[in-house]
Amino acid sequence: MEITNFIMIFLEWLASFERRALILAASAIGAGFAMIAGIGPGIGQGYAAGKGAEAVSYNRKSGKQATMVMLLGAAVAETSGILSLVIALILLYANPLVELPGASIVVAASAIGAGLSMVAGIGPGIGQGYAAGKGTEMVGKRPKLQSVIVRTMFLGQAVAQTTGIYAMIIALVLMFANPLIRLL
Amino acid sequence: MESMKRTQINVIKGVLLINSVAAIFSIFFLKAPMPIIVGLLFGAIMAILNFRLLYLALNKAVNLPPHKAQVYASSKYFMRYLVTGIVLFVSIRAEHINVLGTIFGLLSIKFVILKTELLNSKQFFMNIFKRREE
Repeated sequence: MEITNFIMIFLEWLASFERRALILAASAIGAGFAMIAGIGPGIGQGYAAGKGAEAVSYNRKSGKQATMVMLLGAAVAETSGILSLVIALILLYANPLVELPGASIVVAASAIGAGLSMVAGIGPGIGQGYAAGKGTEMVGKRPKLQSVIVRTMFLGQAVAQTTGIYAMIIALVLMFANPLIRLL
Repeated sequence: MESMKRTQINVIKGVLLINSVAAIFSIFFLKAPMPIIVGLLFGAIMAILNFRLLYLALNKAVNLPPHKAQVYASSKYFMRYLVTGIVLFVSIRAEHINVLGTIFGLLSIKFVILKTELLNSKQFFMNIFKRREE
């Protein structure tokens, strides 16, 4: 019972703020959440570089091939970081929610939700970096199979990217074509 | 080192080509194509710069011990991430740059890499669907 009271007091406290201020504050939180996804490619690229260093230390002759695979794999792994950055900057500098009609609490929650959905970008970032690392490791061990390994790696990376794109679609829908406002 | 150079040049050529095609389309289909073209140019230059920086970082990282390589590559990634953030911030704020063009320019390098490295063999995809009898 006390918890319900606390939630009601919190919601009433939120409603006491001006509508615009509430939405802007929520957008700030959303932008912060969206930036968390930037960690993913960082971890993934670090892993890939570690595996690249291992591959080169095992077999110096295949070092160039391993570096090339890692370069291409790591370049693709950065995508989800860029997408999260785009959503965070839209929330900060080109916020479409401020002018949106409807209950302020719903619009504010949508701003937080848009940012929160981008946290999913951690997954593809780490996953693609992992694929790049494993691809690099195997090219280091078996340089003759490079073309098959690279193609398989990119196929895996392209599939892994889809969840990041879904996250961005949800964020964009919440910001630019919010279906929740019409349900009120 | 020759193959590395060739791969990089191919990717850069691909980025310039895909952005040129996008710019030509924007000239024909948009009323005010100039901001988009400037955005594409800005995005493409930053994508190429980021790719080059990634190459330099990884080229150094492979000669380090694995744990140091991890830390080095991650720290360099966050530097590039900051630069990308500044680029997107400038294109959102500047009136004469369309941010959609910049985003397309930045992401075009991924399309080029996937196109050149993934979709270059029909046989690979046919083998995926081929039935193998034991």
